[in-house]
Amino acid sequence: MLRRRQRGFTLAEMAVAFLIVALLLGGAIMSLSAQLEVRNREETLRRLNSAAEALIAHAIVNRALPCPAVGGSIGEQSPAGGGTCTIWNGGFLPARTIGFQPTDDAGYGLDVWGNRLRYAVSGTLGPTGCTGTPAAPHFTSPANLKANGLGCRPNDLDVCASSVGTTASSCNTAARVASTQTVAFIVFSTGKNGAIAAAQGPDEAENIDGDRVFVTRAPSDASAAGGAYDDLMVYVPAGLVYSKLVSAGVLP
Amino acid sequence: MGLPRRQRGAVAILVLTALVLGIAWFAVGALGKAPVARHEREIVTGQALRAGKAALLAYVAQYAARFNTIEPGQMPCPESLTLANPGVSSTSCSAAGLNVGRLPWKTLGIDELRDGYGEPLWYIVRGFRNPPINFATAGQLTHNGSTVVAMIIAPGAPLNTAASAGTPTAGCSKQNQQVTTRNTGTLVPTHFLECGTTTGSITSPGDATWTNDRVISISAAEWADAIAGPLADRLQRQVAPAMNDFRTTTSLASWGESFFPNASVISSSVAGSQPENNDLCGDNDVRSGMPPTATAASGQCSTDWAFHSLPGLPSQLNSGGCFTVAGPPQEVRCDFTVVSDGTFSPRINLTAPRIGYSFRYVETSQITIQVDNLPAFPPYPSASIGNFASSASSSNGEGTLSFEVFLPFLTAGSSVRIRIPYPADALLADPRSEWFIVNGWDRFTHYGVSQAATHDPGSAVCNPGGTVTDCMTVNNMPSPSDDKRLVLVLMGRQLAGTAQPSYTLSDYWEGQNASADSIYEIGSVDATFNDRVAACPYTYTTSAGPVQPC
Repeated sequence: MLRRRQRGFTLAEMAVAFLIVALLLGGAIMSLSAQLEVRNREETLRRLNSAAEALIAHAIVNRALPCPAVGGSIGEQSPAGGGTCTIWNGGFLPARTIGFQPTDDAGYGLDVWGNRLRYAVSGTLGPTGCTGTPAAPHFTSPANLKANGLGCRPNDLDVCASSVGTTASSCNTAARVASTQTVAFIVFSTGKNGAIAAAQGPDEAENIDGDRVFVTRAPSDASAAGGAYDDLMVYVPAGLVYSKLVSAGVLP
Repeated sequence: MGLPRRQRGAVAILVLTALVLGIAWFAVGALGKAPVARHEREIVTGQALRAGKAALLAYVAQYAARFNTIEPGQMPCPESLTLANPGVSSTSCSAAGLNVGRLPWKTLGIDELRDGYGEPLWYIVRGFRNPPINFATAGQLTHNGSTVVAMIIAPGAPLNTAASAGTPTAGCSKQNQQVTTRNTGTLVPTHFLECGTTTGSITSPGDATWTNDRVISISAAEWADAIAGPLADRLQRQVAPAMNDFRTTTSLASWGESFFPNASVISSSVAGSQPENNDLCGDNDVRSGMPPTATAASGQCSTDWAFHSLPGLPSQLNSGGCFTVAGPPQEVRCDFTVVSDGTFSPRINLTAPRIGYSFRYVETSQITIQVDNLPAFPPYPSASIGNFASSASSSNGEGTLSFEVFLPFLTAGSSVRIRIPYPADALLADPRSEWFIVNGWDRFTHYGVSQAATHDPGSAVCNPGGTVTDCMTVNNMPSPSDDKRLVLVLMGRQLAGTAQPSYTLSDYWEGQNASADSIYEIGSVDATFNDRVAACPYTYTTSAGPVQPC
């Protein structure tokens, strides 16, 4: 009997051992989770940059940027032929149109958390830069893009550092992260909390309200001014779009 | 003894398990905190520098394309060192001096770029701010011995070489960048950059004792390639229409005829006619060459009033004749003294040479009438001018202008002065083409006109939409390509294997554009062809229908 008892561990030994194991595993899991989150954000940013490149590649081949996809357009731009977009600011990346992967079963481009990537494109031109009265739309119409010329500047998409002080049409008193009349299109992810409406702060809500004003800033939790924010955004200036099209011989 | 040993073994297994888990925990934790490897930092730096260069060139190109800018090709100012407006290009930087500051990422329309050490990128430019800016504008910075237009610099980690042994290499100095006030107040460039930031001669040998900056530069060739397309866009949308409006409207109003002036010859038989030195004054019977865009202020291609007369002057008016005033403003004055009371309408005739060889015009609203010592204002009440007659000679391009001055009732002793300004530069007065002239882009442009559209059409016919027998052709231009009255061909930067200055067109233009005939061509821009063509007439097709800029 004594020998059998000696083969096992005392209750105290077991408790101490489990406590140590639990602490170590907990720490490791937490650290792994943080690492995973960093990698998820990096992967999503990589997908956004890839999407931006695919959008420009589409513009080179088709001589115009695509329109955003809308719900029900199975990842295709809407309308299917481009031109005057169904919506300019509240749509999704037209993944099927531009050949972007990965997508969900419905054909919409996804971030690493399985949320659909968003896309906004300029549909309004500024007061200076073009000669005469430019034909609209500009960036999404092959004929108009060619006819209006390289001097035309977008005049709608406004990228701000905060939603505080913005209006539906401009950053207004909020700081801008890109000068006005600069941004041709935006691709963004709603982040890990994209599918959880209750988790989104005012700054994130600004990005999905369908207007022309967007917010990009460093991630934060809900205690920050502007609320929880984990969106990731890539915005591309008109100059870069034009320079790619000129290099490809599409323009002027 | 056996059993206790087994018990100790079990504890050992437990301890080992804990140890392994501990190491794993430490390893995972360390993974996130491990210092980033140097090569990874360099990769990030390289990506940031390339992205910054692409964005900067794209911005410059788009700025060049804007139709309201007088200085296409202008480089933006760096961000102000005061940090008053981070990311935004300073509104005031030196026109010719060295401008050093952070890359104005907001102005470029991109996200903030940082190097592998988390430092925002810097940007240095000198010149390329005010006209004239053109393909001949040389870079005014030096990077490792090469002349460049601008540089984007990744500062890297702050260095402290104040106590380092040895003597800094040329252009470098001992300095301490590890100061706590580095990012506060007004930025001090030498707290971030090393070796040459105050002279514009940057040396970046890579990691060295005295510098850890990483530099990417923009050469004049890269700058030229970036803006060539936008410039061609403006040629087609602004300059060609402005020239065409001279033909259809201005020349008709001034000289009674619609014409494009002749081209200026490029020929080895005419000394100094290379594009770099050309007088830019049209020549007789020349319809392919340099544009006749010399300004009146340049002294080239004088169209000053050369002869003036007062035919049929009534005896009640006494005049010493008309005379030239060197100015400014340069003008012809015709003075009269009334001998006896009456109303008079003297006629004034003027002639000016080379009108058919230049884009010069007369603005008749600028002709003033001054009676006695009253201030001049056009026209003096109840005095006016009219009955204009003008022409441009088909033989030598000479322009004539004749008009009557309708004076009110004047008493004996009154005096009258008529002031007629010299023919002025039409393209300089037109905001669509002003940039083309003031920056000297005319020296980089081949100009071709059909004979039918000159002051000496002979029997040539160029009637777009109808008979186009004598029009010019631009191969590869959207149809119709054979109905052109005007062709402008912007040369790109100098191609390998060519010599400049030269009297040979193929040293500047390529393919069909290198011959002085009526055939031109559009081609894909590559290492052997970098011409860009604009023409009139030309039609764009928008979603709403055709638009014809000229």
